[in-house]
Amino acid sequence: MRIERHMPGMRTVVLLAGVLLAPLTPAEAWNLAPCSPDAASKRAATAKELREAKLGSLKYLPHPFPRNANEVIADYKHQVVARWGNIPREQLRPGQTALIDGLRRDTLRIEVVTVENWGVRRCSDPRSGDRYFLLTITDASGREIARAALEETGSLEQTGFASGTEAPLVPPSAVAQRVAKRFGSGAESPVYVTTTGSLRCDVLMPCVATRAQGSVYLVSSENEVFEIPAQRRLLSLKDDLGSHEKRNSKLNELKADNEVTTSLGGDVFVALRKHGRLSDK
Amino acid sequence: MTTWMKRTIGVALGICAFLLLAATSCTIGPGQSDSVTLRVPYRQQEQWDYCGAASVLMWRLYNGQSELPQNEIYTWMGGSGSGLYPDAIRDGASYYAGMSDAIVDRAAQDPVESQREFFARQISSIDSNTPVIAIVEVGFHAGVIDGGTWTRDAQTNLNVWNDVYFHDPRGFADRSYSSAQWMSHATGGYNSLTQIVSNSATFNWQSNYDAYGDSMVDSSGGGMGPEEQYAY
Repeated sequence: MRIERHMPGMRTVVLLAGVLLAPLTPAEAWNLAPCSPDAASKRAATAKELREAKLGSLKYLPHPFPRNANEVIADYKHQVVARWGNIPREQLRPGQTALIDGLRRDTLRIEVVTVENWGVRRCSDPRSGDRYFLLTITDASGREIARAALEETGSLEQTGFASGTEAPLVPPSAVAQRVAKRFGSGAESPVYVTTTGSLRCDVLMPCVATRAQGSVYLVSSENEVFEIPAQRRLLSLKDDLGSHEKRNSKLNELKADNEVTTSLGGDVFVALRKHGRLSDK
Repeated sequence: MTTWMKRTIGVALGICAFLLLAATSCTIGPGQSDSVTLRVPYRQQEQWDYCGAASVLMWRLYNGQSELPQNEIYTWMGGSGSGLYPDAIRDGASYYAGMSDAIVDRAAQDPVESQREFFARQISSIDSNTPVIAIVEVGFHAGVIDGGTWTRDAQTNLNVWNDVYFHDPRGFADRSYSSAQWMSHATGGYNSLTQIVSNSATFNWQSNYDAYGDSMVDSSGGGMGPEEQYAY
């Protein structure tokens, strides 16, 4: 789901009517490996701690578990200003000062999308949920200056400053159309995903996952396409990739079969077949 | 040169050093925040498995040495399959960045003391103006720690690190992680922590850690260095 918001201040322009207050996330997480009940209960304890945090604590959020783009942006703004707002300007880097100034003056355009979390932390770290909120931040001239990721709790994970070489985000639906064209069938349920492995889908530069012909296809931000076949070959982080020797051996074995591996969550990894670059059109 | 001249030059150098220190150091009070950036030159990785080579290159450039093709470093480090091997990155840092005392620093997340000591070495290195190559995402990625922000905690009078600056060679330079997220990112949620550090740059971590002890880590936990800890 793509949510857009124009700032500045009272001149806020909503590009997609109604979306600012519309729910950001679908009811069901889109992933291929569920977490254990134990992981879910640990998340609940962390959630309680966040909801009870008081103003003044770094854990405090105006909107724990934000439900729409407005709340995500409010959480982000609060955390950036709380962390960097009291630091002397000369101590900050240019990207930080531009970001803080823009947030305070409401001169930035911030777009919020969701990224499904297939990283290893999803089922092993109670602070890491089923998805992230990815914020793309552009200045008044339309230049992208930064991207940021928030956990689904609303807690700030990271902000990265654009160096000018990063590819723009392509809407998942557009990527799904290219997949359908390449593989000759409809591609459904496209979402952004973040993973790690010999295929890494960075949360700030996510891949797009889509279902087609019983397979799941992942398209990287460099437009390379990988297939998780219906008959998945699962790997264990601990047993198959846990030491340098095991990892080297497994990655070489996969490479010989024109395959790579990526995480699905927790200990679970999967083998993916490489299909080369996808057409840009 | 006469003794008088030597003394005069010595005094002048001392004043210059004091002025330089006063200009660059930060004295902050309770509740105040500050930031340190080592200004490591950023380089984006040229291939998917060049993050180790790009990290070594950044450290090399920070040390004032010349630009080199990433594939040269990558190949020297062993090429495919070895680009992320910590020992290869350490050797690369030694050979290409002149860090002859670079070591692979491994720790377990559990027990928690091991984790705290690991992050104490990390903070101590940044205190010494020396970058750290952090191996993250359960060993599938690497980048360079370039500094961070901290706040002087009013109750403990400790410098609590709020953010860690990470030069991620994948793209989006100067990433800023909230420190709790950074610690989680570094461990990947699993029981392994690895970084490439300069042994001399982390020399004081143990005495600092011993001096402040676990009692100085508040109930929210976190790694700590000299008067410092990561906020959790």
